[in-house]
Formats: sequence, structure tokens, C-alpha cells
Amino acid sequence: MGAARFDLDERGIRVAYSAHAGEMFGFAVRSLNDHGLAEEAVQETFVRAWRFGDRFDPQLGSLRGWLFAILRHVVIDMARARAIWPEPASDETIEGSIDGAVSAEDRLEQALLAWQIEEALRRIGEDHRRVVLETYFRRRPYAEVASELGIPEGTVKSRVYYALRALRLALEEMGWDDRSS
Amino acid sequence: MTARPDDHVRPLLGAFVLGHLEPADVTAVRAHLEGCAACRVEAAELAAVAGLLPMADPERLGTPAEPPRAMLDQVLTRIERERGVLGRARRRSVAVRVGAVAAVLALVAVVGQVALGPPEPSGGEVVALTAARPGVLGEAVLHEDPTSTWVEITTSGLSSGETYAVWFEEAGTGDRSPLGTFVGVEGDLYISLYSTLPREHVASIGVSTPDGSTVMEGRVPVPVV
Repeated sequence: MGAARFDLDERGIRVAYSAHAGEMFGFAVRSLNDHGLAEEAVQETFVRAWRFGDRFDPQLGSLRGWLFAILRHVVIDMARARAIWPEPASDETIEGSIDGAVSAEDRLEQALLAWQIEEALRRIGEDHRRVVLETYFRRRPYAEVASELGIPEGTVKSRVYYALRALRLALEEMGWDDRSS
Repeated sequence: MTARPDDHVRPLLGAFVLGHLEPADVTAVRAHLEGCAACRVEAAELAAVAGLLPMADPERLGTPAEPPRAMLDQVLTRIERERGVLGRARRRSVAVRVGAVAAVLALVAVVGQVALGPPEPSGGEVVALTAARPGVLGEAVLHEDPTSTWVEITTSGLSSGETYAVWFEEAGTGDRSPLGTFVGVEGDLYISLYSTLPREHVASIGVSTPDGSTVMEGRVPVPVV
């Protein structure tokens, strides 16, 4: 165990916690579907981050990405230990996972993406979220949504456009990158 | 069909990638995209986002999970506790090597030599780990908290860069309950891992390679009730 720990001493851990713990906890809850286990997973992640702080190289990636990499390992170990799996988001992903060939890592990757898109939907403005919920998730006709909101149908369409752009920006802020996948 | 200028087509791209446009508008957008590289790029970017939407569960959008207020304190307490045992663990690992001259049939039996080290303020049960590989030494100290069972392992001689899994064998069932994984390094290694398995259910502590081959294992004394 080296004495040098980059800046992940106790103060560094406090800073990292303040910046990322909320997001990490949200992901852990989404993956493990249990607040107690999620708390345990995030605690373990920060303890490991402190323990292996000297292995973190900011030139290789962000602190957030490093913490999430540790958290993924912790969540996989906990899910395996308890024979639980990250909960799929929808019927479509359940079908994709049911053939038994999907690894815990793949399931976790799906849970991470599901959590990221849900978090992105939370972050965008209420007007944008509303049109996506109504037109996409509730499959309501644009004319009906326009009438309910008291705006022209063309405005609903343009809001859907701006909503998807805002979602993309929010996802990119969370480290999502479709060009690298 | 006449291609529409960007200003007219762009606001339709969201509904377009979601498959929500009427056929006439779809035709118009497609015609525009054929001649407009910038809009093609934008449509592809929005389509990637639209492709993620099926994964989301709209029922979960209400209140994001907030970490408990005490969680940071618990993290810092665990770090403080680990910082405290690090020094003791290093001293113990020296004792491990001293005590490891008793090799039997290529199995290295590491017996409890904690008496050689300083007093142990935090207590814990010392568990000798029997290694199945020559040159590997290890010792575990088992601790019990109200909410968890945790183990400190000091070891040396493991292959550098190889991943190892630590587990408890559950009494009665013989099932392995994983505590976590670590990567071997040159020289001495100290790790501590937590489990929610109650202490009285732990029959042994083991370290194995990813294929499940046991590298070290130690039986845990049956607790005195």
C-alpha cells in the first residue's frame, strides 16, 4: 500500500462524495433495487477509492468514471452474492435478458443506461419532459397533447425536438457517448 | 417533393426519429436529409437518444433516491478504522513470514502468531489461512459489527496482476458467499472486506482464482454461544 494517494485523502474523499455520491446512490438503488444494499455499495466504493487512491490517474479518465467503475464491480459482487440482478427497465429489456446468455456485466450496463436516461429525463425542463412523457411513453396523439397544453401541434413537435436535444446534452454530461460504443 | 429549408425541417426531427410523423412529413424530411449533411448528423444524434428511451421506466421519474445523510460519516468512520488497522496489519504480515517456516507437503500452514505483534485494540479472531500454492502466505482477522462481518487479510506471494475472489463459506449449506475481488501485487498486500453474513454463519474464509480454484482457506472457529 503506497503512502501517496493522489488527492484522495479524507478531504479528497469528502469532495468526491459531495460531487458524485448522489448520482452513485441513484445508480446503486436502480441496480440493486434496495436502499440498504445501495448504501452499502456506495460506502464500499468510497472506502475502496480511498484505499486505492494512488491508482487513480486523472490523465486516463475522470474521477467520476473511476468511481463508477469501482461501483460497478461492487454492485456486481453484491448482486452475485445475493443472487439478485439489476432490475431491467421495461418489457423489451426483459425479453433481451431472458435467454440466459446475458452476463451480470451486461445487465449492469443496461441498468446504468436505464438509470442515465431516467436521470436525464429528470434533469431536463418540465415542459420538455412533459411532451416526451405524453407522446412517447403514453403514446398520445400530438393533436390531443397540443389541445391539453393549449399550444399549436407544431409547437408540440418542436418541443419534442428540443427535448431530445436536451436529453442528449444531459446524457453527455453524465459521461454517455454513443460514438465510443 | 420539394426539399424544405433547415428551419422548417429541424423542429420535426424529434418526432421523425420517434416515428411519430405523418407519411407526408416523413417523405419531406427524408428528402431534405438526402441533401443536408448537417441535418443528417443531427437526426442521427437524436436517433441515438430515442434508442435509449425504451430502457427508461417513467414510473421511476418521480423522486430521485437521495443518499442518507449519515452515509458520509459512515464512509469516513470506515476509512479511519482501516487507517488504524493498516499499521497493525503491516506489523502482522512480518510476523506471518516469521511463522511460516512450518511447511507441510507443499502446503504452507500459517499459524496464529499474533502474540508476536503488538496488542490488538480492536480485537478480532485470527484465522490461519492454509495456502495451496508454494510461496503464498496469508492470515485473516475476522471482526464482527452489529451490522456486518468484516475480515482483514494480509497476504504475500500471490501472482501480480491476477484477480482473486474472497468469500465466506456458509455454515450448513457450504455455499460460498462472495465478499469481493482484488488484484494481486508484488510484495505484501492488505485488504479488508465486508459482508452482511452474520458471524455465526461463517464456516471458513477463502481466496480463490476466477475459475474457483482455492488459493488459501482457513476454517473459522465455531462461535461460543
